[in-house]
Amino acid sequence: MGGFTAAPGEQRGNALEILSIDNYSVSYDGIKNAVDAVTLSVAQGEILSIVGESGSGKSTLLHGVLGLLPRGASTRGGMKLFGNEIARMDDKARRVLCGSRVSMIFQDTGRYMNPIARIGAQYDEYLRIHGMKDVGQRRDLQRRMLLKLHLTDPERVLRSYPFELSGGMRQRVGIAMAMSLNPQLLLADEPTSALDVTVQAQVIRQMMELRESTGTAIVLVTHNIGVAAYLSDRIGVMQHGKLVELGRPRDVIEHPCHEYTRGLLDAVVEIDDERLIASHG
Amino acid sequence: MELKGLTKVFPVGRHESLRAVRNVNLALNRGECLGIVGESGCGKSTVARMVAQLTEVTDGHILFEGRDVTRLSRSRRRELWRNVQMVFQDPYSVFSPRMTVGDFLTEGLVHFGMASRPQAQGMLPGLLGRVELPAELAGRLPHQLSGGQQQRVVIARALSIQPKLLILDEATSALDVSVQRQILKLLMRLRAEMNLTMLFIGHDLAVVRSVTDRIAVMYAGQLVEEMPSAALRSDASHPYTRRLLESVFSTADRGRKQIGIEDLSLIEKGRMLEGCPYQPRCPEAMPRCADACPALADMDPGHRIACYARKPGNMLER
Repeated sequence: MGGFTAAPGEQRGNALEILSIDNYSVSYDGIKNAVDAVTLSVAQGEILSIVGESGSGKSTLLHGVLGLLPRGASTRGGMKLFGNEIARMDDKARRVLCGSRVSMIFQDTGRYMNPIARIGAQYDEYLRIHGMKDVGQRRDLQRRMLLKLHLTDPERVLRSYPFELSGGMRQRVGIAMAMSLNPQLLLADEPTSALDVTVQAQVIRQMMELRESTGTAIVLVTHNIGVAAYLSDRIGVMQHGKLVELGRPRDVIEHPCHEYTRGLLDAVVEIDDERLIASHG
Repeated sequence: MELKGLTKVFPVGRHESLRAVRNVNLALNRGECLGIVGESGCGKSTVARMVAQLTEVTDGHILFEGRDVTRLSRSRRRELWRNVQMVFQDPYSVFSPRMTVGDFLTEGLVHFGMASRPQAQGMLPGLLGRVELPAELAGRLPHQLSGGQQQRVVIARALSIQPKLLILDEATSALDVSVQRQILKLLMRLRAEMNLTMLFIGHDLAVVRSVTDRIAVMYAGQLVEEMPSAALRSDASHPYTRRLLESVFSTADRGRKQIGIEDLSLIEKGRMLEGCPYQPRCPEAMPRCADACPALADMDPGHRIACYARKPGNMLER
């Protein structure tokens, strides 16, 4: 015990498995089984999307990985990160892990920033805490990452306070930060839902590039099935806390097994849909 | 409804101003459903708010049934609101949290003197039934309803006074896909039954296209293309509209399409320019695009586009 250590021996057993969730349930605030006996695993370099409607438990599942569940939440079953049971990690070990080897992007990253500190100061602190000692190196990395996310004037961004940037720009800063330390696992909770479609396309491209260049595994929670189908290796569908379907995008979309998946797919309005209007006109 | 040279300038700080809407010309015929799409900050909601008299017009005119309604006295504005109703994205924000659904629904009828309070009460089952809700909901408080039910109630209220024009501003954007589809179907049914004229504003190309007859695309305050919705995918021609279409992820194109790299910092630059606002991002920009803004011109019947690169000789300068 005694917290998480990246002892090579621990990982050798199943070197490819980054996250493994085994019969995992979460209950809180009188909601019984917000996550209900979910079993799945994520391999190195894999992109797994979890789709479902609000209240399906998809975000709760993601929060469980980082220990971000609300106070009083009770969990059952197993959740292992790099082969280590999360519930048995102490807070310190989990903090060290989260942010360096595992990082997370939220729907509105701006909300998690300090409103009265400049972006540059926050970004710098984040890198320092996670072990980058050299100031010059930190500065260099910040600029490189912001440029990668197409924030072409990184100096200006770093000098800005969060409120001085548009939501789309803040979100890209958050994504740049989350990708800075080449995490082995990136958890993304509706990362592009508040973005304009052309910006969303760029962010998705960036996430796929990250996977290519550093082998990062990505778990993406989204309500946008089109996005999930585009970038995932596998798609999981959640309903009422249960994982009702899990498979390759092609299989899930062309041959959904579960009735709920079928309904969800039918509800999506596609760009080449027969117009809804036609059915009444 | 006709918009002529509609312009809105917001002051920013002491010396600067933001041209939120620039010289928009657009017509909406009776019984028609017109969509306006564009990304955040393109001015689509400001257009809607000006039409609904919620925001003052800086320049240009709004004609409603041939009458100029650009600047109205308070009593005239009230009269217009009787005919123009608006539904917003977040239904809960328009409720008063302690007002029952029934009181909320009948408020408009009583306010405009279309029914006495008891008469309006009697109309409740019909009003709720119109949006496929059971009459029992009348006694509930807004927080006791689901998001989809709330939006249905808001639509029922907007329609209670039988407006001629219904404006929907991102009215289904916050809803889950299955609920969204139900609301879209409901709107289409009501439109047919009540011969409604609708202005449907949204950022989701697929959704807006699916429920409208015509679609107008806005970028940085300007109208860049207008065309029949059914032909959007095949005939859209403005480089920005094409870019929007390429950015739509459909379940059919699993990893198959290429996403071109784009310098997103250029988005913010366009608005300040005298020329075409899309020109800094545009792969087909020519020198003249920076000099003056292309005006909307007919490309085909019913299809207008503001782009020098498309039909060079035919584009009229503003």
